[in-house]
Amino acid sequence: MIGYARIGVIFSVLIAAVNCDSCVRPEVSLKPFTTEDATVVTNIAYIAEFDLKCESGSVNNLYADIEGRIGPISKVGPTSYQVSWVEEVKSAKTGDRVIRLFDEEGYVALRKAIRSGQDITSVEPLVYVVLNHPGAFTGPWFRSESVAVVVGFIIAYIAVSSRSKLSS
Amino acid sequence: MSGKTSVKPFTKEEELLLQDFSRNVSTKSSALFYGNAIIVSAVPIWLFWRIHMMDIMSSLVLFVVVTIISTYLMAMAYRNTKFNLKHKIAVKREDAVTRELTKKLAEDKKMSKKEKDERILWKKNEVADFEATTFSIFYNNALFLALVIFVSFYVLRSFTLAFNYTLSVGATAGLLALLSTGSQ
Amino acid sequence: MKQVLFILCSVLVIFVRCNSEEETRARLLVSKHILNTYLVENMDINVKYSLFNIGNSAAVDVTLNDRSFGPEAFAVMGGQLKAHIDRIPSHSNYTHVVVVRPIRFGYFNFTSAEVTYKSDIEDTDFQVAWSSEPGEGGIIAFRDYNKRFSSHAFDWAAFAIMSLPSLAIPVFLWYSSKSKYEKLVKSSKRTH
Repeated sequence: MIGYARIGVIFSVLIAAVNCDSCVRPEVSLKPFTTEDATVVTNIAYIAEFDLKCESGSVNNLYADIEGRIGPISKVGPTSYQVSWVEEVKSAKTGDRVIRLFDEEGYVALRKAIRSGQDITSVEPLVYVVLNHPGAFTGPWFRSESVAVVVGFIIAYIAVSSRSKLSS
Repeated sequence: MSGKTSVKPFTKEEELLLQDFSRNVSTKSSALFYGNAIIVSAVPIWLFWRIHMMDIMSSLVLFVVVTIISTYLMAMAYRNTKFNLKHKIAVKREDAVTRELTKKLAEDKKMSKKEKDERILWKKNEVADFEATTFSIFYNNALFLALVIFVSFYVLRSFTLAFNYTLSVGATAGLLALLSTGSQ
Repeated sequence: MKQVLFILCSVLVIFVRCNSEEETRARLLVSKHILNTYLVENMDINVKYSLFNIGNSAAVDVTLNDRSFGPEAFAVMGGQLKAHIDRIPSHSNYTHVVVVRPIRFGYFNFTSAEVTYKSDIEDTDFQVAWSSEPGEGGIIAFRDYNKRFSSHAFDWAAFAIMSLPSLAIPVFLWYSSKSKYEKLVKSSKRTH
């Protein structure tokens, strides 16, 4: 264990030496999109577009860890990025979705953690963004005509029972 | 329950008044029946136009014909239901009407007993007529609308709109007219 | 409508270059899917791009560019139609999602997106790959869609208002007369 840790320290020092201009105190502004009306689509789209600015240093490539799924992120502008995926409407999760972002250095640490069977959540991300999906409209809960039929029969029942009372 | 008035044999005046209990209705109440019948028969057009997306212009003739038939049948249903109920209501209201009028006419000592009885009979007839008419309209309208919605949206959903409209409105009105001819 | 769906869903993966020394190089397969049951004017269309690297080395400097959704016909609601991915490792994939809304209705041919990349980090020239083509799809006018699929809540409410008088007025008149005389009987019975 000590050996591993030592190697890890050496490794990270080495990387830190290479990436001397790594991002310090990153600031993220998120432009989120999730599907709101799911009546005509088969999947819910989760799209996080964000702008990342560093107080000092810079970041070039970013990697994302979306609840265990790790992969590259696309760059859509000089400092902006996009993470996106789809989920089936029926199984799409609602609420906050945490996207942990890693730079090259963090990505190496992440890969190392996977190789050694460690918990990947123990690797600190550069920064994380939260994409909230409040849920999507999948069509009305009930059909209007069903309500109309029920109301109609309630009134008709009142009419028939009043009549039988009159005839008694 | 049975009031004193019904024990006595009917006088000529009473016979005359009782004619009101027949199936024949006055022009006024006939107008009321047809007015109500045409309104309730025309309302389903909205459902077929707006919700079933039936083209209103090309089906205009059908709409008019079915509405006329349904109006006739509904008016018949109102009339028969009213006739069936009127006598029962009259019996039920006898006590109350007698009490109401006896109290009111007690001070009037000039009026003869015969005249008072006549007044009571007339009032009883009026109350029973009113209640039977209003209830009959409500009863038939409620059944008509409930059945039209159910038949057109569930039973005949897969049929063509013209067939669906004709049958759901026509058959419902026909059924109500038929049921109203029964004694109950 | 089912046919349109079928065409849209059927995937045709097209790749342009085939290199003989592919074992050691990156190769991308690109698919473009439309994830919709209906295409409706002014409603979301989900477009999913999947980039699979089936080669044995990482694809680098990957640029995905879809020029088929012009601003004259589509509004981009979420995501970007042009994206750059620095590196797609071998035997892994990358998913990109864009949501657009058609401004107009009518038939539209969904064509392929272009992907350029380097098969090897040392390469100087780019490989070009084209995504699958979702094909032609009919975009329904929103008005027609609404007609067919809306709950007609407003029309039902109007129907209720129309039929209310024919029920409420007679029942009110009947009930007020009925309760007036029933009360009379009850009160007089109590006094006797």
